[in-house]
Amino acid sequence: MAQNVNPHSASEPSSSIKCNDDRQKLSKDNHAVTKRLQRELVDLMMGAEKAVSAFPEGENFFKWIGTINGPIGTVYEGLTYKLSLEFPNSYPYSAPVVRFTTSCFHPNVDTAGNICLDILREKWSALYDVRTILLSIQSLLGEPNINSPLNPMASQMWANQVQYKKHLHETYYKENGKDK
Amino acid sequence: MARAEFGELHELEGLCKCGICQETFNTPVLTQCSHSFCSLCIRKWLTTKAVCPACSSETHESSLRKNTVLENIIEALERVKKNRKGVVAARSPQKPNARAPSQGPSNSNVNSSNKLNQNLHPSVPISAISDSDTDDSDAFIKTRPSTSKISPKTNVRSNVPKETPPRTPCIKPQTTALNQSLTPKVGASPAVVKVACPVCSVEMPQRVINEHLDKCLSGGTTRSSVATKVAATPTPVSAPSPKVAQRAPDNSSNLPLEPIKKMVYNLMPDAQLRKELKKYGLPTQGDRKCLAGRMQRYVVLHNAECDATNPRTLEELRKYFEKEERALSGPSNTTKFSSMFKTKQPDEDEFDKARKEYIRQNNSSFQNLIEQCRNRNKSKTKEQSVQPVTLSDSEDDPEEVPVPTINKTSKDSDSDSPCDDVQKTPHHKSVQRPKRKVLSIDSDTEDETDFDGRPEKRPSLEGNTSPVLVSKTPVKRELRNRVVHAKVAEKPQRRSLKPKQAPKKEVTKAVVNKASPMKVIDSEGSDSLFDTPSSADTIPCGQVTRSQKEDSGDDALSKFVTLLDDNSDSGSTTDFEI
Repeated sequence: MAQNVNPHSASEPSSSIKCNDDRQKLSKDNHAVTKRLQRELVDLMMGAEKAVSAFPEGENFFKWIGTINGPIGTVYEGLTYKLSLEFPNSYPYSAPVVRFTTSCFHPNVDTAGNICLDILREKWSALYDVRTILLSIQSLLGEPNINSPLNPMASQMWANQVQYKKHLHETYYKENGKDK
Repeated sequence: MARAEFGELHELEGLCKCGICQETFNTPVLTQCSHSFCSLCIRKWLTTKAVCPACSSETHESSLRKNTVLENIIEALERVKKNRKGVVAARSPQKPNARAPSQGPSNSNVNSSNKLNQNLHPSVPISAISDSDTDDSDAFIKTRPSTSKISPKTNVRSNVPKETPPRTPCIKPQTTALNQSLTPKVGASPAVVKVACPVCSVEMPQRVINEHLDKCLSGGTTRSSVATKVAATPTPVSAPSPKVAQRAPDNSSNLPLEPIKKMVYNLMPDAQLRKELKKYGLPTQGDRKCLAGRMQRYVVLHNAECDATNPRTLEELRKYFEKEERALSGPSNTTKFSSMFKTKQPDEDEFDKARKEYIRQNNSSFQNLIEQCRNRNKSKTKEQSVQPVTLSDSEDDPEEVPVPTINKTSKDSDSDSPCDDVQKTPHHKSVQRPKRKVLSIDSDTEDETDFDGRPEKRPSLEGNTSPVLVSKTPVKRELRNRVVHAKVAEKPQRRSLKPKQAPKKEVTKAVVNKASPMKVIDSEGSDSLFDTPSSADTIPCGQVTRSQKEDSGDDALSKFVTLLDDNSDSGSTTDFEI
């Protein structure tokens, strides 16, 4: 668990430099996709959703950073998690790639931050948007699917909530610093 | 006041949204499970998965039915919105639509800031944002409110009444381009010899035939095949010919589009696939997978269009499809966050057309002005020993070589895309500038022409710039420095005018100047630029190229500057409209 390094976060700087390079180019691609993302952003900002938030990362509108708060009344209460959302060109006809960038100790999240969630895979629908994705993930935190674990240790530990919480907080603060 | 009304409207509008594209329904269709989506959206979705996005029940394309009632409701809603907008526009202190044509250049600023305010206002329906794509605050100009939101291209639909003349100066860039290109201004270029293009047989003035021919030949590969198929006048829109306006009637537009039957493209032999593609004028290059994908995407688009009340013509559909394909094959994920917020961004092609059209139309007046200045100059230069090189020029290149390359400069100006970001433009200017010969004239005689329109606009512009974030790129900083420099060092009485070779440059320069106020505010914290009696004195390059007569008199010029201005504005700033 200590090697919880997201390989994608390491590659970010280079991609952002690339972005700057072709800034001169006028982007006329993917009008529909960007329009929809733009609209989602506006809706997110205008909406009164407190528990989740998201914003494009840097210059690239196809990559967002999402934040979710642990659902109240669960062991995740009080913890904040950051996620990266990468939208394909075919969005919303295909699902975005969503990963935890904050290390997350959870039965359905692996050590690289990949999430096992049906609506991001085979149950994806074009009606889902960033807000619903983040809310789904938030509810997944409180209600894990123990039967298809990506993190067997967490799924075994889930039965004992006290021990789970202790371990969860230990790992959370170890990985993410005390200040959180 | 109308806060409550807006709230209700907002709610109603929210109900009229397609869940897939999250826009107001465009040609809504009903699924078996009684969910409504845009025709195109649901068809696209069904190619990925044959279930309803809302309830996951099995759905097939053949079971989709047009939802006419919903479409009518949306039309009615759009009308209501339009009226609301009109009310808001009439009540707002700055009436953008009521401006005189000569004030065109800075209207775009007013508009965009207006829009910004609207968007910040929570009670305004969100779709106002998206609407500003297609119409700014010019709700009066918009001719077809309901169904014109597929893409900017929709404006090119032939069934939109094109005859509508540009009534107000603050018409949005694309429409301007369209109108300019479609309605040739009679009298703007009187007594020109018209020749027919050998490729597309469209008549046009002789002096534009060459550039038109280049375009025609380069884009003619696929076009020619369609031309025979669709039996339409092949129409590069750039050609200002009466034929273009008449295109719709003699085109196949009045014939109903027939839905294409679904085929199993993966089992079709290559030749048949190619034949099918050719039938609709689509490119036939690429491997099998590519062809099948293209055909499938086109069929989706085509069949969706069949549901529309006013379907586009095959030609328009093909063009739209081509554009989409280009977007698909282009570099992925290149859309930048900052570019998101330029809502008015004319297409490069359209822009190019508009620019050429403009140059064509105003060539004579440019010549006139230049002649006038020359004459004046001749009489004055003898008494004054005027140094032709102004300060910031010498900064760049002390030994300026006046090269009278007439053809070269004009050619350059043609090939350069004015759509480049403003960050690029000044840079580029500074490279080219030294090549041009600079004449100086005394400006005193010109000062009587009006700048009256400006002062009243400036405060509004100032007031609204505050939420606009100005990104400070190095080039802009250079520009800003130059503004200050030029202002300090330049003798205010002197103004130089460049000879006639590049009318377009003049305009762009003026635009650069237009764009600079914000920067100045940003850096110095003062609105010093607004205080100067004429903003032309502070043109950053120190090379004042735009006479004031032009500014006040020429309607078309101001329109064009608006066009440019919009572009450079949106390129330079990240207006964050949330």
